[in-house]
Amino acid sequence: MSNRIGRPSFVPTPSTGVTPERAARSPGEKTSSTRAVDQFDARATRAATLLTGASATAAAVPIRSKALDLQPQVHEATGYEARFEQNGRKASAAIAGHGRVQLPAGSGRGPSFHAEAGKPLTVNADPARFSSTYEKVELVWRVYPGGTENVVPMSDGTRDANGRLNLQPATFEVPPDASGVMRLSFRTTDKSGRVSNQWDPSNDAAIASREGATVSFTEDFQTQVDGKVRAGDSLRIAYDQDRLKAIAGGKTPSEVVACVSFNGEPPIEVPLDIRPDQPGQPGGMFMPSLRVPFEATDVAMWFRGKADDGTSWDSASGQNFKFSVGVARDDADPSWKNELLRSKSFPNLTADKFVGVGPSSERYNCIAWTLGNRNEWVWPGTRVEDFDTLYAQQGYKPLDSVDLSHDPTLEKVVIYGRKPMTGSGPLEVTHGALMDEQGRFTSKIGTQPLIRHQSADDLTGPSYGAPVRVYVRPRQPPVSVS
Amino acid sequence: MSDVAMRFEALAARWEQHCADHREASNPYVFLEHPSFDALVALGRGAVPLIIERYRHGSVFWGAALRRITGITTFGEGVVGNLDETRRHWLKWWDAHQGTYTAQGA
Repeated sequence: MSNRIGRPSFVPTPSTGVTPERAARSPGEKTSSTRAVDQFDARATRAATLLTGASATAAAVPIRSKALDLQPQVHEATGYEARFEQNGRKASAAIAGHGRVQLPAGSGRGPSFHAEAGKPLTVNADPARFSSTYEKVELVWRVYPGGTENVVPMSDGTRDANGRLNLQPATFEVPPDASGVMRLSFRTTDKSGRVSNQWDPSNDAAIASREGATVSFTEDFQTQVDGKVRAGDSLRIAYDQDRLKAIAGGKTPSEVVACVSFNGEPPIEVPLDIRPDQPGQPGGMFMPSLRVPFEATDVAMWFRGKADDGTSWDSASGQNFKFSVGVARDDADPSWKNELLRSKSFPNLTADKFVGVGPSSERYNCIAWTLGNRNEWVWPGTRVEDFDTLYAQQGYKPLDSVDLSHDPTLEKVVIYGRKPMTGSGPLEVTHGALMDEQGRFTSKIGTQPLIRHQSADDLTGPSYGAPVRVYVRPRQPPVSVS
Repeated sequence: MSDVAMRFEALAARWEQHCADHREASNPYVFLEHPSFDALVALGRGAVPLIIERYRHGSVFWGAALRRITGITTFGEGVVGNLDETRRHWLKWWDAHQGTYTAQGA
């Protein structure tokens, strides 16, 4: 029987790409290295793009879409659980009427758990984690950034045979507009009335927001992106296991896993099989919903399943399915803006003149950003001539004057410079900014956040000096794969 | 804590503060051109294990210090390019060569 995942019929853009070769990724293969990605909001019309592997269509439609109606055998989570055991943490998703999926619990350096906007999260804790001297244990949760603190009682005063408080599960609904992370901590009160509450980032749950994209891997070996894959939003993966069955020569795969790697990091392995947790439940196929980290610039996926005594891979012939990740929504994390407002380097940069669209990062700098590259640090030298050469390689020509007027048919890059600190010598280039289609500028500020600002002069000051040269080329057409 | 380790910790803190003070800079040599970075490099091979530990989760520009101490050019200067990838290369290198450095001690 087919597990068919249909392509939403209302999507206007048909897939016209080629059908990829049905070759499995070999078990020993490493994840393919990441590629420079040319997709960011300054070129906002460039929708999520499948970089390798299979053809893709992209359409700006809501992800909580009819795609789900057309996928009766693929199920999304109806709730999540965060379980604090005595010696570790376990994360799972519940699928009402079907069963449960154990989810990866993270590396311990960030969120261990998963949650989804508008869906319940249940927190369970082993009483053995808490001293018998406690009189009260409460769960404290807060959406970060932006949320307020909420408290759910977990103890009712009764105790077990060891004298420890009996703990009840704490269930609450994640706010429907939530994004970011859910901060979870336990507030304890001891017999003397002393209250203790410590937050540990590995207690967090990553929240998949309602906004995001669904990537469908269909039975006919096509790949489709509905919505826009962007940092901070959710990424839903609808995978038709008949693909692996075909690769395995007709053998039905088991233990099917989606491997998801952001920025070439070790993959998150998400089971795609729902395991019945009560007799009579049918199980089924799981459609995971993951939060795309703010730091992500690209994501690669591949799939694995067991068939008989072998392992089958669906990995675009070992290249993996790769997608670029767009920048985050404006001020998705207020700390980006606050960081720059604290800086003394930019006296002109006031709160009303810019928004933060990406986190601090050593992954790329301003010059890389102007080149559409968010994976490298680029620095050709400090002389203006060094930048003339760099941008000439990209088809840019320098203008005779610092002409910052807006022409939607042209792409403009402006570089900044100042006199050397020694007081003599040629101008030293300090920064580059890119003008977008609407005449606004985007700048990656050193190792600090990526911002969009109103004018080039917003960054004039003691650190960057002032705009010294403008480069121009015809605006590149939006990337289209259809 | 050994003498090298104590000196390293003090210098590393100074250098990281220098980088933080210039975090708006795009020119990577702004980070490197500081007496504390030169002093870190001058610590020599004994500093390599300490740098590796900082490098794992700290600044990607630690690769530039490794490059200068070890003389290994395979992974570039450590200031431009895909610096995450450069870090992965150095950490893999360390897995293969750490015996050479720890056996000699600081």
